[in-house]
Amino acid sequence: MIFNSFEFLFLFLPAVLTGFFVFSAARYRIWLLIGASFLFYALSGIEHAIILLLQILWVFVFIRMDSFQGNRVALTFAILFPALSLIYYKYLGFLIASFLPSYAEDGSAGFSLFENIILPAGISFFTFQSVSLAIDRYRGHIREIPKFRELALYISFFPQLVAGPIVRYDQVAEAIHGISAFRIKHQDVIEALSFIIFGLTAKVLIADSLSLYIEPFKGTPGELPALSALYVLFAYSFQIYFDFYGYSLIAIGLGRLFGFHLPDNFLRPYEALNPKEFWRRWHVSLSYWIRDYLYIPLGGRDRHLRNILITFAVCGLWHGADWTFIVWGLYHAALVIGYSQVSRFWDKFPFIVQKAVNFSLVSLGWILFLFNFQEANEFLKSMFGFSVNSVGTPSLESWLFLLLSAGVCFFAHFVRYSRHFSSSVIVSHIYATFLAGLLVAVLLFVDRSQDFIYFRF
Amino acid sequence: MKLLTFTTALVFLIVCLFIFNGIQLTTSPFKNGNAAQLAIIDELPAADVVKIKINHANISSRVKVGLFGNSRSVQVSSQDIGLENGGFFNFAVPGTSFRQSTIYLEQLSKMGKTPEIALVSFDNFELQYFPSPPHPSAPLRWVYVWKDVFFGVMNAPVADTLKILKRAAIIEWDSLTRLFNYELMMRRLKYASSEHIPAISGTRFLPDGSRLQEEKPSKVIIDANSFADAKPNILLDFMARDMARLSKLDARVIIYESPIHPELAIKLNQQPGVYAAKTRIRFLKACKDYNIECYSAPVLEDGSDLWVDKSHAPGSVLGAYLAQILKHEPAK
Repeated sequence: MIFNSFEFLFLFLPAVLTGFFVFSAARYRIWLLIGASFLFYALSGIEHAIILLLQILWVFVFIRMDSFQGNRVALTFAILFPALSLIYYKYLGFLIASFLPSYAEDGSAGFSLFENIILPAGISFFTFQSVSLAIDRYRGHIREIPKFRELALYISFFPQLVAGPIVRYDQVAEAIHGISAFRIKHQDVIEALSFIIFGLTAKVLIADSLSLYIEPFKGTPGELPALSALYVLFAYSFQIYFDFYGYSLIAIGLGRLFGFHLPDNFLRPYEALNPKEFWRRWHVSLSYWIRDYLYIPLGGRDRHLRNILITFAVCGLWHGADWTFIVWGLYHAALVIGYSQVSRFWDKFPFIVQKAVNFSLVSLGWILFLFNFQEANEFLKSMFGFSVNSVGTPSLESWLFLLLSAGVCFFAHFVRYSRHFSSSVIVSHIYATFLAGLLVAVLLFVDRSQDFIYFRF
Repeated sequence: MKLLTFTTALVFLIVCLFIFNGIQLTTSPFKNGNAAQLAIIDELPAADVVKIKINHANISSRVKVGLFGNSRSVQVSSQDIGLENGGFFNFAVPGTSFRQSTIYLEQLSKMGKTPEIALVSFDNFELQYFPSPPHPSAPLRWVYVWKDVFFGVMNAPVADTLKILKRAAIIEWDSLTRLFNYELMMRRLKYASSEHIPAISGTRFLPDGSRLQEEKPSKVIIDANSFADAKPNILLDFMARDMARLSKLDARVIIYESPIHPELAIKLNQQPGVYAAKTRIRFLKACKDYNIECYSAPVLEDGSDLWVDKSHAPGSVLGAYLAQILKHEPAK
C-alpha cells in the first residue's frame, strides 16, 4: 500500500486512527499499530511481511541475551539474518549477473532458486534499522532493552517502514513507551495535517507531474536537443527530490498522529553550498547511519580518502543493486574529495554561484538513477549538443512547471510552515483554507500518482 | 492554523466538487448531432452515459422501440434493426448490466418516456454478469440499495444479500474515486463545453444511441473452456425481482438472453454450465410468473461467423435477430 492512494487515505488511515483513539484500549495501542503496520506491508506481498517478522524475531532473540553487549560473535549472528535477507532479495541477482554472467544469461543453468525474486519494498530501510539496533545494543547505547512489542513497532511502524527516515531506537523509544498514555493535542493535529498535505503536494502534484513531463524524453536519451536534455536533467533532479521529500513529510506527519516525532530527513538539500554540505542535508538519516556505523568504524578521518570511497560506494549500492548506483556513489565521493581539495577556492565564490554549481553537479549525478551506462553516455552527448537526431523539445507548459518546481524548492519552506504558525488570525484562516484547497487538489490527482522512487531502495 | 476553518473549507470544496463535478445536461447530442459531444460520451463513465441517454429521452418524444443493455447490444443501429424511420433508440450503456436496465426503464417510466417496446438484453447466462447499477447518483442510489437489502433480508439467502452489499460498496467506492478524478472532471467539462470546440473526427456514438463497433468483426478463436470459470454471480431472487419490476411497466417488455458465438452456443446448448442452467430455469419461470415475453440465447448460425469476440455479436447480426423478435407475436 502507498500513502498516495485512495485506499490509504480513505480506508486504511481513518480505520487505524479510529482504532487507535476510539476503540482500542490504551494498553492495546501498540499491538494495534503493529497489526496495522504488518497489514500495510502485507498488502504488497505476504512473503514480504514474513521476512519483516523474521527479521524482528531474529534480532529480538539476540539482543535480549544478557551477554550481548560487547559480544562481537553475538553481534555478527544478530545482523547475519537481516544482512542475508537483504543480500538475497536485493543483491543476489546483481552479484550473479556481475560475477557469474554465464548463469545470468542462460536461464536454464542452475540458480533457479534465485529467479523471479521480488524485492520487498523498503527492505534496505528496515534492515538498516534492525542492524542499527543490534549495533547500538552491542555498544551499550541502548538504555533499556526493548520488549518484543516495542522492537516490533520500532522496526515495522508503517509511516516510515518502506522509505524512512531510518531512525535509531533511542530516537523513538520515548514515544513507544508512552504510546498508551499519548493524548493528541490540537498542535499535533495541525502539524500532522500540514506535514501530510505538504508531503502529498510534493509527491502528487509536483513529482508526479514532473515525471509525466519527462516521460516522452526518457526513451531517446541519445536523440535529444541540448535544451531538452538540460530540461530532463533538472526536471528529474526536482522530481526525485520532491518524491522522496514528499514521502518523508508524510511520514513525519503520520508519526505525529501517533505521538512519534520522526526526524527531518531533508534540510533543503539543493540549497547546499558544496557537496559535503549536500550530504548533511540530503537523506540525513542515511548519511548519519553510514557515518556512525560504517565511516567511523572504518577509521573515519584516519584514512579519509579510502573511507570516503568505501562509504560512498556502499551508499550507492544501498540505493540499488547495479553498477550505475555504485558509480553514482563514487561520483559523489569524488565530489566530496574534490571539494575538500579546492574548498579554499570554492568558498570564495558568491553563495549563489556555489549553490548553482553544487546543484548542477548533484543533478548531473542523478542521470545514473535514470539511465544505464550506455543511455547515460548518449544522454551526456545530447546534453552537450552531439545528439545524432534531435527530436522533441519540451513545451512551454513543461518549462513553466519546471520553473514553478524550482520556485517551490528554493522558496517554499514546508517544514517551517508546518511547525511555526502565524499569530495573525487572518493569516491562520488563509493558511487553513489554502491547505484545504491543496488537499482537494491533491485528491484530484491521486489516481494517476505513481509509486515512490525510493520504494525501490 | 484554524482547524475549524480548515474543516469548513474542506467540506465546502468537496461539496462544490460533488455538485459541479457531474455531467452537465442541457441539450442532447443524440438530438442535435453534436459530433464532439457524441465522441466524448465514450470517454465518460457508465453512470454519466445513462444520465445523458435518459435526458435525451426526456426531451424527445416517446420512441417506438428502445434497446437496453450494454456493450453486447450498443452496436445495434436503427439500420441494423430495420427501423430507420426514427422509431428506434439504442439506450444501451457499455459496462452496465440487466440490473441497470431495470432502474433505467423505471426512471423512463416515471417520465412517461418508456419506449412502446423495450428490448432488454440479459447477458448470456454463461457469462454470469450481474453487477450492481452505478446510476442513479447518491443519495437516490442508496435508496435502491436499501430496497435491495430489505428485499434480500426478507426473501433471499443471507449470502446473496451480503453480495449485494459488497457490490454496493464497490459502486460507492468507484463513485468516490470518480469524484476526485481530474481527468474525468476535464472530460465532463469538455462535454459541457463541446459546442464551442471543434468537432472531433471518428465519432463513436451515433444519433440513434448506438455506438460504432470499436473492433471490426473477425474470425474468433474459440477456447473450448470458455466461461468454464464463471462464478455464480447472478443472484436469482434479485433477478426475479427485477423482472417483476419490469413487468409492471407500461410497455411491451421483451427480455432476450444475449447470443454468444455460434460455435460456442452449439456446444453450450448441449452441455450448459451448471450456473447458466440454473439461471435459465429460474429466468424462464420468472418470465412465466410475471407474464414477460422472453427469449433464451439463440444460435445465430445464419449470420457471419465473424464476431467481435465470443460474446459480442456484430451489430448487423444481432440487429437482424432482434428484428425477427419484433415481428413475433408475443410468445409467453
